[in-house]
Amino acid sequence: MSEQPVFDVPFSTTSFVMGVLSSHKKVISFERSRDVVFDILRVPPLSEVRAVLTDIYTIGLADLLDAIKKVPGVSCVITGGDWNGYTVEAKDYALQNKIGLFTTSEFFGALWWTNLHEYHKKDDEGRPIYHYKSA
Amino acid sequence: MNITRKTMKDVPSIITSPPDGAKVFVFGSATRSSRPSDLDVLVVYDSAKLPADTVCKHMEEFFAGLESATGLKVHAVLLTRSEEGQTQFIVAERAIPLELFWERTVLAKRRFYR
Repeated sequence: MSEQPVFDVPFSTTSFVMGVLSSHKKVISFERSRDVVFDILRVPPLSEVRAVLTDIYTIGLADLLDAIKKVPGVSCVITGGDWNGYTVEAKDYALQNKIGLFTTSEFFGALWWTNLHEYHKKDDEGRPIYHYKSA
Repeated sequence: MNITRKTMKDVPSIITSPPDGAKVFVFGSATRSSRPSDLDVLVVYDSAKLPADTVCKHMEEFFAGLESATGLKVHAVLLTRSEEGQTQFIVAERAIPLELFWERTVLAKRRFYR
């Protein structure tokens, strides 16, 4: 596999993610390659995760498909920073294809879930909250 | 977007010729600062002409030309027309067409160096 970075992500963001992974209770270990690809071994019976970190302000369908193409076997696409987000179309595609599409804080929550891609926060009435970008 | 004949000659061809089906906008600090550190670009594309699974590849050459013309690192958001409609990105981020951004930049520099 090429060691060229897959996406241009500030080191501060990458460093933050590595720091949280290092102390995450469901993470046994992780390996980082191509700058922003993380192969994560989780506590059994939770499955292994291949995540790619981006710094895209709004991940649309095109960027999601680009990430999937660039990182074979990817199970999770993350956009760094909680000011970032994704579109409804991208999230729908990700859910249909069992791929996680998350902001960083969502990702850290998703690592607790068996079906990682289904993770979502909930509002007071139990309805899913997604980090959709909207006016 | 109309560009005056006077400034048209200063607009690099790369800026006036994005791939067919793509409309390019600028948002973020480059629209407000005279010394931006990067160039946030929105591409709204017609998925019938530029399929979502290939549009990133199609835009690579354009982004490289844009970086060369501006000297700024491009950070792009690519949205289908329906995604833009759903997010109202242009309005929310006060994005302006690339040609208009360029014209304003050129005019601003002219004023600055007068």
